[in-house]
Amino acid sequence: MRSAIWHPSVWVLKSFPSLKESAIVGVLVCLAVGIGWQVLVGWDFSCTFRQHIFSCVLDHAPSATVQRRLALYGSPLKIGKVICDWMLYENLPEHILASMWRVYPGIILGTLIGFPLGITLALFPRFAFAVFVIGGLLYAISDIGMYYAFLRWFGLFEEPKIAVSFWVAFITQWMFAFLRCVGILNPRIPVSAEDRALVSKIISLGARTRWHLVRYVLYPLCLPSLFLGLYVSSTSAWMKIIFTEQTAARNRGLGYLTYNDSHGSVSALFAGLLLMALCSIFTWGVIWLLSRVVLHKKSQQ
Amino acid sequence: MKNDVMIWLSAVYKQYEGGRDPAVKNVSFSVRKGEIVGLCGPSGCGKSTTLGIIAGLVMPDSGRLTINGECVLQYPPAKRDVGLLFQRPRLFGYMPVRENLELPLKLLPRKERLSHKKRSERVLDIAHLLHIEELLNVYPETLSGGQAQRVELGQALIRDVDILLFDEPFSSLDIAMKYAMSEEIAMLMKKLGKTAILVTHDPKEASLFCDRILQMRSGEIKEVSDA
Repeated sequence: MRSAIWHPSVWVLKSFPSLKESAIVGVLVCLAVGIGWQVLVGWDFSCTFRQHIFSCVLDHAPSATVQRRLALYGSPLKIGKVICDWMLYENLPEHILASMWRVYPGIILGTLIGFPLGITLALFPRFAFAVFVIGGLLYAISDIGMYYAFLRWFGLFEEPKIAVSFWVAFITQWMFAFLRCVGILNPRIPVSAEDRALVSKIISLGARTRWHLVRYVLYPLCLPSLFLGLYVSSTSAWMKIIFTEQTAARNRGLGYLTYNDSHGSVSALFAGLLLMALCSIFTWGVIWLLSRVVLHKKSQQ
Repeated sequence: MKNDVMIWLSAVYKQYEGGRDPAVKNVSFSVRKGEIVGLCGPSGCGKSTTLGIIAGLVMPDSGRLTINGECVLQYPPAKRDVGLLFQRPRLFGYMPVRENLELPLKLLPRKERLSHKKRSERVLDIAHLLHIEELLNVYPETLSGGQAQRVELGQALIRDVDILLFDEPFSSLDIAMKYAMSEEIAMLMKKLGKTAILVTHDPKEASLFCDRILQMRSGEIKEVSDA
């Protein structure tokens, strides 16, 4: 008889790794990709096998063309060299801090305004559809498109860049909180009946005002949505900051550094993108720690 | 005798939007002070709707409801002096049992609100009464079905309401536990002098818990008997 442990569902559940295991696997995969990339593209030695492969891929191009094309793909060692140069000669930490200063205040402000606004608007079911449509329209407006409006309104300084991060977080948090609350309050929306049961529970326990409903049901149940919104909006804000800093940065910021240094070098471009990705991952880490603190009662169980 | 009546329903009628038949039609009955009444019947016969009407969670289309001699149909649930226990325990998972028990006291109007010290004392009294002292710092997700029901009963008792409504509260427990808890809580109700209505479809449970049993079918009360 086959053991239950071989059942696919058990295998899937058992195969989810812990955070530590995931991190180890992630680092190993990155190392493997980096080494593969370096060997295939970056290593500057005469390798007939590699030359042969790329000359086939590039339609039997001559060796010089292959070398020229390969230079367009950068290489991990060259990217590392660019980052080291930035550290030594360009004061890289200052640029990173400048970018963070543009991203974090915007996200925090957008969350502080958007999240309570989403919950508040959900408390007025008569306007829910109108709010949903307006929110959908605002959500659909490109952040980059808004950036040009911000440039006109605030000028070529820090404010338009912070405003883009604010816009991203504000719209995301508003919509996430609003949709979550409507899902809890509206019995016609097929979301968790368990959550909705808490609404009748708090009323039966003596809740008299909408504040009681918000304080004891909507706010605690929306907290996971807040962190989900933070993850989504922080990633989006870091993506947007690349663009905003490249178009209107004066003398600081990762986007500025990348743009200034990448005219002739693909490796510099990749180095900038890599650093922004790392900053985004760092932000995720901060949000994760924050969620552990705020939702500690659950996680400590 | 009339002054003795705690709950009085008269010709109560309710049809849900989109429902084919009325959930409750022409239901009339009264419950005396300190009495425990059982509402028995098959699923969908209108028991929980009747309970919801008394608790203030469902608004009837017509009829009359008085609690302690006062017409309360226009009152919100908080003003009805009624505690409700649901079919499945509904506890706030993000707060420990102690805070779950304390919550109804925090919801009281400002002028009736107790100090933190008095609230803590009240929580300890209720926990002692229901034998859940050791669970006070535990989160609801780790509680068994019976323990969760005790906490929910504690939430209803801590407000010192006169009427308790039980909406099939023991249906998720195993049979032995169900009857043991029914008896224990019935004794507790008698000891505290509370008026209670129990909704169930188990006649044995109703006979253990109640003084009087009302049989419901198709939204109407068909039979009244002593337990």
